[in-house]
Amino acid sequence: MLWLAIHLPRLPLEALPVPLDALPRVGRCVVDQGQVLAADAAAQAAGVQPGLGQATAAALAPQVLQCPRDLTCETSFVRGLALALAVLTPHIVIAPTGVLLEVRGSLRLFGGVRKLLFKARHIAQGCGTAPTLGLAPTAQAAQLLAACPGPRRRALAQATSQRLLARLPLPAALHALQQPARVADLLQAIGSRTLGDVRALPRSGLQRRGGTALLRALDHAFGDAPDPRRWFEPPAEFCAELELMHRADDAQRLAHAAERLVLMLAGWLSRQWLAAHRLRLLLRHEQGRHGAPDAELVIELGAPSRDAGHLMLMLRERLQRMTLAAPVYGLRLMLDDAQPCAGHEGSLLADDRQQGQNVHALVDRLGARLGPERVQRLALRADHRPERAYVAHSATKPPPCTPGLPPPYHVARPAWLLPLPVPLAEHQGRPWHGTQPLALLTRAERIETGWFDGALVCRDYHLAEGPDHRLRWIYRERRVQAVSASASAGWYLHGLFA
Amino acid sequence: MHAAVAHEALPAPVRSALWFGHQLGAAEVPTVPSGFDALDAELPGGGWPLAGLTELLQQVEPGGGELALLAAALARAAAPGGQVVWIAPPHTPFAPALQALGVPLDRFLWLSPASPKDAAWAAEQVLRSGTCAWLQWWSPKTTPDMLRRLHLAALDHHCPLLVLRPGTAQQHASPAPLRLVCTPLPRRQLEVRILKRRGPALARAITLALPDPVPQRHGTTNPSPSPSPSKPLADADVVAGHPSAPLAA
Repeated sequence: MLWLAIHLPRLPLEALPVPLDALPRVGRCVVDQGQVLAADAAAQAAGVQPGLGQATAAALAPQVLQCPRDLTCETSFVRGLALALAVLTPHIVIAPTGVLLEVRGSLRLFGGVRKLLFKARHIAQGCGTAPTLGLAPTAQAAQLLAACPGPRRRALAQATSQRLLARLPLPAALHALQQPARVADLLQAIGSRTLGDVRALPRSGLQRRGGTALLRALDHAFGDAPDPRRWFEPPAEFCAELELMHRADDAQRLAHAAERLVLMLAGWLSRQWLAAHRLRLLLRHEQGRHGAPDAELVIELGAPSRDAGHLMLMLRERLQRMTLAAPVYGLRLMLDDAQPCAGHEGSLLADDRQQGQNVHALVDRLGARLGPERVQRLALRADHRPERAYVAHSATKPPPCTPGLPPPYHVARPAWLLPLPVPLAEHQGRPWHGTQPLALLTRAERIETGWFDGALVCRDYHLAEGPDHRLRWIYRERRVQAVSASASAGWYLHGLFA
Repeated sequence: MHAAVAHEALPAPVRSALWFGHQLGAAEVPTVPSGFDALDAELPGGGWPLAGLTELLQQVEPGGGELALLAAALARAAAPGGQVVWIAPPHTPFAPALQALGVPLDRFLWLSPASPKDAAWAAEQVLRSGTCAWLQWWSPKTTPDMLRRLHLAALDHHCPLLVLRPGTAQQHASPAPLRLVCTPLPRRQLEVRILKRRGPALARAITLALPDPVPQRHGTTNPSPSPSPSKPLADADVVAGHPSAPLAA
C-alpha cells in the first residue's frame, strides 16, 4: 500500500466561510480555548502567530479579526475535500487534520508519483486550501511526514520511510501523533530528540510512562502493526452548498467560489461512475425586506461529462453572460440528471469515440460562450422553396427530424442565401442591383409551390451577372398582388454564387 | 554549386525551412491540391497548406468565387473526417449548395459570434479542440497578433485556417506564410495574385476558370442581352410544385 496524506495546517481558518475580498490588510485568526489556532498571512505579519494567547493577540494587533473555531465547518470542509479527491482513488480515509488516500493503484493511471502529487495539490488548491503532502507505505507515517517539517516528505519503500521517520524532531512529531504534551516533555527530559530515539527506548518502560497509545501509534507508523482504517463513504445523493462570507456580485468571484463545488461534483461523479448531464446552480440572494428570489443557472451538456475543467468552463461562461439581480451570499450545486459513464480506455491511437466526445465538448463550450443559437448545423429539407430547403438548428441540441429526401437539383444553387430577398429596381427592361445593371445569363427556372401551406411562391429564377462579375441569383415575382404591393418591378436578389 | 552542396549537408528540419531565393520553397506542412493545376504549380508544396494560417483577400464583396476556389481542397481535406467550421460567414450558407460543393453537412458547424473578439476566441477553441479538419473565418477586422496566435494554434493542432479578408488588408502586415488576393473576371473566371509565399515573388496573376453554374455560355466576352424574363410557362427549365392551384390563389 502507498498512502498519500493531505495535511491541512490551517484547517480551522480555511474551513470558515469563503472570504472573497476579505479585508486583505486586516487579517483573520481562529481562536479556541483562549489560544490562537491558525492565522492568515496578514495576521501573522501583524505578529499574531498560532499558539499565542487570545488576550495577547488582541493586545498585539487589535485590528485582526478573531473568529471562534467552528468544528462543524471543519468536518464538512474535510468531507468536501475528500469528495473532490475521489477522482484520484476510491480509497479515502478521513483523518483529524486532513485526508488520507491509498494511491498504489492510481500511480500508473495518473502517470507517476510526481503527477499524482501535482494533481492532488491542484485539487486541494481549487478547494481553497494549501496543504502539505506526505507519501509513505503506512498511513500513520504519511500523516507524520506531512505534518512535521522536514526536508523530505516522500518515501516509496518501507526502509526509506522508517529512516525518514526516525529523523523527525520530537515535540512536533509527538504532537502530530496526538500525544499529550506531558509525554513529550518527559521524553525530551530523558534525552530523546527524535522519533528514532523514542523507538530505541525499552518498550516496557515506554508503555509504563507514555501509555499504550504511544506505542501503538509508533508501531503503526513504522509498519510493525496493522493499522486498519475506515473508508470514507460518499453520500448517495449529490448536493453541495457553500456560504460566502462577503457578498459576491461579479462573475469572476462567483466562478472562483463555485470551483470547489464543481470539484466535489467531479469527485462524486467519478466515484459513482456517472457523468453529469444536467446541473443546477442556485445563487442565493439576501433574504429580507429587499430580498430577491434565488437565481438559478441550469447547465445542460450535449455530451455528459465528469471532467471538472470542462464543467467549470461551461459554468464560468454562463456566469459571465448572466446578470445578477442582487449580490449573492450562497451557492448550491445540484445534479439533476446523470448518466452512467465507464471512463475511457487508454488507446494507442485517437479513436472515433474520443473524437466524437471532443466534438460534443467543443460544441458545448462554444454554445456556453456564444449562445446556443449562434452555434448551428444545417440539414436539408425536401422542399423546392429555397428559404425552406434547409433547416438551421442549434448544434447543442439533437437535429430535428426532416422527413423526405431533398429534391435533386438540376440547376446550380448559390452558396450564399440572403435571409430576406432584396428588391431590385428595373430600368430599361433590366434589373439593377444598386448602381449595377444585371445581365440575365440563364433561362427561367420556375419555382411555384407552397399553395398547400399558405406560403405560396411563384418565382422565375435566373442567374445574373453585373459589371463587378459577381454571379447573382435573382428572381421575378409572378404573382400580380405581390408585385403591385411592392415598389419594385417584381425583381428580387435572393442569393450569391461564391 | 557550393551553396547547393551546403544545402544538402544541412539537417532535415533546417533544410525544409530553407529555400533559395529563385526557387519555390518546400512546404513545411502537408498540403492538399487546390484542384487548379495552374495554381498548384505556384503554391509551395503544390497546394493549400493543411496546417497553419492562409489568407485570402477579396477585391469585391462576398460572392466573387472565393468558395469555388476553396471548395475542392475543402472537400478533400474533410474527406477523412473531422469538422468543417465556418466562423462569421457574410450570409447564410445555403445547405443544398454546400452539399453540391462537397461540404459534409453532418460535420459542418456554422458559428455566428456577436463580436470579433468572440469570433477569435471561438476560432482558437475550435483549433485547440483537435477535431477540426478545415476552419474558415471571415474576418473583416483583425489584428496581426491575433492572427499570429491563431496561426501557431493551427500549426500545433494540424488544422488549416483560412482567413477571408477584404482586399484593403493588402496594405497591412500579416503573419500568414501564404497570402493571396482574388478578383473575379467575366465568364466565371478568377484572377489570383500571390502576395506572399515561401519563394520568389510572383509578379504575374494566375487566371483560373472556376466551375461555371451557367449551363452553356455563348462565345462573346460581353454577356448577351438578357433573355426575355416573361416567358411562357412551357419554356421554364424546371417547374416545381403544383402548376394549377397557385395561379388561382
